[in-house]
Amino acid sequence: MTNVRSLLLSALALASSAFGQSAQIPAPPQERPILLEHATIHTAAADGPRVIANGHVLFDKGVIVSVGEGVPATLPENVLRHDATGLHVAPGFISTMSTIGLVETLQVVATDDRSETGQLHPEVVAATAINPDTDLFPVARAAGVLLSLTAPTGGLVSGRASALRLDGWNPETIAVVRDVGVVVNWPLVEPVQAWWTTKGVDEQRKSIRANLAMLDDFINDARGYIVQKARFPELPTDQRFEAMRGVIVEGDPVYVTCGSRGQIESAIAWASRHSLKPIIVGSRGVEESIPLLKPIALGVIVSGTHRLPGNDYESYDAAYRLPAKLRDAKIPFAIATGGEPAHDRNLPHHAGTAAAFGLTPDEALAAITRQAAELSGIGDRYGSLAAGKSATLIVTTGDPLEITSDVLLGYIDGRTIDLSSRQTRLLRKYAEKYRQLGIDLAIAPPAVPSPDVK
Amino acid sequence: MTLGRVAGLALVVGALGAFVPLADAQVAPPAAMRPAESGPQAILGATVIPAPDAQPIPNAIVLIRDGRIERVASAADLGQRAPAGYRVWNAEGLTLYPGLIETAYVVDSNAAAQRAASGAGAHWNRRVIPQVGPEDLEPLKPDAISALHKLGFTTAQVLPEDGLFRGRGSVLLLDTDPGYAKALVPESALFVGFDLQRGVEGEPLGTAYPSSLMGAIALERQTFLDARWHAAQTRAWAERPDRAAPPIDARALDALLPYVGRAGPGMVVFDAPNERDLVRQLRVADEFDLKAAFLGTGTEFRRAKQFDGQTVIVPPRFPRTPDVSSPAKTDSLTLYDLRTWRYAPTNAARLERAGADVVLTSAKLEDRGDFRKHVRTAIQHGWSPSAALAALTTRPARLLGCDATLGTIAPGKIANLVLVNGTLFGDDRSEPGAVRAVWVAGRRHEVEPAPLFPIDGPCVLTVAGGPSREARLDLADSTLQVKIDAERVVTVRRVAIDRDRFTATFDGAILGRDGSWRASGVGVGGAVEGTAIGDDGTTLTFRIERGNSSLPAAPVEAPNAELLAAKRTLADDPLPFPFGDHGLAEAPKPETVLVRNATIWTSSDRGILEGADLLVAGGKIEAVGTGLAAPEGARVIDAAGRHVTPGLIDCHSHTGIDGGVNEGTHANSAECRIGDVVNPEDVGWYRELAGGLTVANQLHGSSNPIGGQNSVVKLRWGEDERAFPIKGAIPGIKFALGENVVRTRGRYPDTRMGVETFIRDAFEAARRYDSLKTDDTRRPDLELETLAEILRGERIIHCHSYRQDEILMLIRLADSLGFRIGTFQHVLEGFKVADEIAKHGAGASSFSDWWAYKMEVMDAIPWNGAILDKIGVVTSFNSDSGELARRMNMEAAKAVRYGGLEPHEALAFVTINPAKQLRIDARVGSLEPGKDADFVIWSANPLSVYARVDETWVDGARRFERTEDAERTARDLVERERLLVDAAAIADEARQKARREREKSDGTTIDGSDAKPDASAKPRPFLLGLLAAREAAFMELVRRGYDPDDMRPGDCGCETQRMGGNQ
Repeated sequence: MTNVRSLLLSALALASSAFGQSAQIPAPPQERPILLEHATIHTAAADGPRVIANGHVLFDKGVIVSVGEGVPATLPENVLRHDATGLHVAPGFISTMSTIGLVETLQVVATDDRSETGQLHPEVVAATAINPDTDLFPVARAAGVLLSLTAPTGGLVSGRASALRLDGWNPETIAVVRDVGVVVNWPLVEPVQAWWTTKGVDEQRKSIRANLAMLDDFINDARGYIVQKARFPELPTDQRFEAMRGVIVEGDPVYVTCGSRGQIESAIAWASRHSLKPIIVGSRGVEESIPLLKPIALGVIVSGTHRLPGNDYESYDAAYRLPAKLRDAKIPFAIATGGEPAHDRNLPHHAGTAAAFGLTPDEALAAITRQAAELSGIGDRYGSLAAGKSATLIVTTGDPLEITSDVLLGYIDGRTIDLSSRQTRLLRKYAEKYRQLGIDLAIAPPAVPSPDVK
Repeated sequence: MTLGRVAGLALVVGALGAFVPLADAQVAPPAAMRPAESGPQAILGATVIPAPDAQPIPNAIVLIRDGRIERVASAADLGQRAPAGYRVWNAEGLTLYPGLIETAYVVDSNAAAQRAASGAGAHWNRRVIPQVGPEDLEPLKPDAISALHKLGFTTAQVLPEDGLFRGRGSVLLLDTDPGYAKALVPESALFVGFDLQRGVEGEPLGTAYPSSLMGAIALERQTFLDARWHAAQTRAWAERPDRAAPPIDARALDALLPYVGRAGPGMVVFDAPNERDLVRQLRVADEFDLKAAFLGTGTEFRRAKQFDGQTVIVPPRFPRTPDVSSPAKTDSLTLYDLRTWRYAPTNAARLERAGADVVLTSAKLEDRGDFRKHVRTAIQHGWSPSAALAALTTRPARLLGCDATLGTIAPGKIANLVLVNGTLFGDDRSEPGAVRAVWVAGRRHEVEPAPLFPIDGPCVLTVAGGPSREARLDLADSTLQVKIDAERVVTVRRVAIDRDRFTATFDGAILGRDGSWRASGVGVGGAVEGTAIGDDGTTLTFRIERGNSSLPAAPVEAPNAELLAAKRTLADDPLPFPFGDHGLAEAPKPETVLVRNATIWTSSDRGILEGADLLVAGGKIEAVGTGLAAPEGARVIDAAGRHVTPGLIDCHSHTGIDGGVNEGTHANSAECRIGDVVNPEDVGWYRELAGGLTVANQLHGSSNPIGGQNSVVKLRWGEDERAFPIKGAIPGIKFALGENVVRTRGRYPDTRMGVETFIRDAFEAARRYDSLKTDDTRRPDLELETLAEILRGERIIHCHSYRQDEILMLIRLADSLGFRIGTFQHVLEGFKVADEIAKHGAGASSFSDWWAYKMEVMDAIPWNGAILDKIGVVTSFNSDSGELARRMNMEAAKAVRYGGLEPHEALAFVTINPAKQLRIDARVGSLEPGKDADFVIWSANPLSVYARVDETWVDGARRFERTEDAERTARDLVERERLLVDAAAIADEARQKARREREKSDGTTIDGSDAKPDASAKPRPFLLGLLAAREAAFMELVRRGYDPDDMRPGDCGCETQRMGGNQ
């Protein structure tokens, strides 16, 4: 049995050789059963205990075999045991409605594949354009973000979102579910008047009406196409309408990003009119719309708690306490960062803030694990620690949501994930600069043990 | 002078005056018969209001001769008739007032501005054109003058509209015939204003200096300095042509001489788009000891106290009723908007009570025609009618230096008079009366003649050979009511009356017939003779005469006494400061406080103290220790289980900066001062207090290599901007390197290479400047002066930087010039050159973990802060964001996670370290006796994600407390709801009318002070493209629920260059 901390130290010893040139190599499939024992287990499960003080997680072939107190009575023969005393185990975090994988450097246009040009493009799918070698994946992983719901942006119908595991050789092995649902970027429904507007109210009203009509027409057209195509298969195939099949016929969610109460109201009315299943993505206006959301929306993805209140008169903590309000109203919700993909690593802090303002810590954790998985169409396999679920989890030095907690180990589908990154490479490089100057920085970059280390 | 003698004189002179036309040099010789000209005149029978506070003279007579008032008396004294030879105007039943004075009639001066800016001796800045004079302006159009007559104005100070230093005005007598135009004061006030929204030809909107408010103030300041300097140069040349250098041909500066010279300075009228900016103008006027008046917008009441002792020219300008027609619209209304709406009518009353000299203007009204109606509203809101009249007569007369000739009806004064049917401002029961005529220097201008129609009121309608019926004709609402029998009254609406005739369609019943009849009539001899044609072609005649009638007039809405009383006392309501949401009735005072049993993070050598006490008194920390005794009367806070830290300090903030954080139009804007544009009412301050922040380093943006001067403030929410700066903090300035500053293509510098040489060039100039004698020969240059302060070590640089090469460049440059950089800001590659930064002695103020938002931050790593700290650089984490600034404790915690700092050291990144960087560590940043009592009480370990701020104290005064906050927020919401209900309760009809108007005008904000982009600003096509791109990007943000005005980390003001947005 190895102690996780000593495991890391031995890994550090190896670092100068293999890891020095580490290029964040995707991990091979799990070869042996792994037991994490004596840890505080945060299951994030819907039922059963949420926190197990001295517990274990046993997983094999990428799937969790058992989760519980103490150590299982019987263990597989060749099990790899890690003593995680004093450490915490939690499901890997899921960054929902992220753009991670679609963009590298925000201001460098050539690295940006987030938005297709035009208004109605459900045919484009995020998973198509994921760059497996993005520098953003390793940075997010190192903070425990192991999965994402990556979504295109822009236009009116932006495209389709894909659920991803943030480790793999190519987009195909990275995609968990290629087509989760359609993303709608809800248009403004009220004219904006600000110092920077040049378009008059009337001109804006015209385009508002046109946008809203376009959304209605598009659903009607798609539905008509699907009906006709079923009767006359020889009709030419339309990629855009085909892409709507999931949300129109199969009940896939429509992710609707909204920035105001008016947008939410209009989106809900639209979804209800067309019998669609909306998941509202936003923050502003959500609290005021709760009575409307409850009967119609599948849920809410809170696009960040680290946001300013929408209006001056709102309380300073309006965005912080929104998740608690959704909890009180029993509306399914997940917490996202709502921000730049490079900062997906701060996802647990968004959840933690929700806990400081009304959620319990385990409710906050569930909002970025189980509930996030459920709203990303992968709740059957991911998001909580329970027998039969994917062994996608992290080992942390403290409470998993705490800023000061470090992620020591990460597993995706049982595979031991490399937690190094472009940033640890740079840290190592410049630690060496100062070492040459005779200064020891005494900063240990997180490292990943080889699964072979006994 | 006896009556007889006057009459005699009148006879003699009158004989000449009555028949000999006045000859005027600028009136063309008559081509045919001479027009009849007025000789002496008498206005007979009016009630005369000779002066604002004087007793009215009923049934008076006013004699006018040679354009002046000759005599004012009771008509009875003159035997109820005018002396012989006088042209008599019957004014029975009317009221005569002194002619009103428009103090700020602002006219388009674009053409003149363009000529001046391109003319000889022009200033380098196209908006500094004080040489524009009255002679450069288009004469007022007769229509415009007639419109002013209708409001009662007979005199106006005409001011040019365009530019910053816009030019000089003149005081004109408002005669519609240009031949009689007279300037009472040929050159009056200098007009100066912030004009950032209007473009200048050749300099498209947003690209011309100044594009920011602070730039405009800096330019004002520099120009006044230049004018003084130029005056000295001119004097020296006049006195010693053998020695002095000939002064430059500076027409702009020459024009300023009468206004900045020591002897008898002319008046400067300062203009601004809102009351905060007007206060800023007030400070400039003070700084240069100018004789000034301030042209307001109607929102000065939000800061009435600051206008004590000042002359404020205000329009009676009230916001429209807030639009509550949809939930989304209602959601966007803030308490700031709603309170402004509610209290704007009290503006004049409040200013006057605060000690201001209030002068009224009709400028800046959406519809100038509403002027007197709005004055009435102001009077109903607690202002005295005599003050209102004074604000239009005696006060402006004095202000314009015309009090000997204008302002009252008294012998010898110029005969400027206004004759009104009713009263000038109306009262609770009546609207302001119509102006019948005005006299301008004795020349009568008819405005609205008395109605010619003989009938108005009860009458009798008699059909020839038919019935005779009681009736009532009301001219005011064009209705005719006819009583058919005991039960039935028929009302004809839309009786079209044209002078002495009318037409209408009658219900046959009126005429005792069937069908409908087309009727018309003519006023003849005190009655109306009518004919009617029926739909069967038959005709009949009828007659309407005055007579008794029992029919009541259309019901006049009786004034609601309760409502009126409520309006009158509205001016007594204490107003909060800040005026909007979360404002305070009173600023909190320092208290004596003992915080007990806390875990105290001292940010000093004493580290973290468990179970400790903190004693605070008089705004200072008295003691930190255990078992401290509570002094008499002290507030004792039991903080068992809780944590106490010093107030947090943000070394990179853009919160509370009005009118743009960048003056990026010039590569060097060292003359600009954030300190000029601090907004103490920004709700961001309060939100940051709620996150434990107490000190912020307000920085200029990063769009140019040499930015503007910083401002280090305490978050003294509830006090005005004078209370915000930390006195004694070393002045600083923002510099910037890298992508942002080279982004403006085609402007030097375009590369990191050029950034170095540009900065060095500026310092070389500053060194030469500093070596010159500081006498009159050296032109004071605020830009070079600022840089010289850096060279002298009196000002420190806070330099926006990312890449290691540029950091090293600036270190070497500073070393070679012999000064030390204060801090590198962002400094995301600081970890690569930490040893060099340490050796140089600069501080580092970084983001904890931001990266990848642009190319130069791809190499950022979260261990940056810890590495810099370990190598010996004084390091802090900053926000650069109004959102992040609310949770700096979470940023500090990342130094534990990334780099393994001890928690106490990590917290120092947002307490004592930034204090050291700002050189205020002797006062703030740690909890030590003698320091300012800035502290925070946390619900848990401040580095925990689960920690909340319970209380924030600044200078021993509690500025935030969670329970109190919840209570106040709830109270504010109740007030907001009440105001929304009031807004909604306005009669349906009025609301619909307002909505129609609103849609017509398309784009007025509720707060009239918010400047709208001016349609006359015509940007070039390429710039239009940029503006459209920005608009599209901002729309996308709004769509996702973000406010484009909120600064995000890394923005540094460059991505969202603001051009004067208000709160």
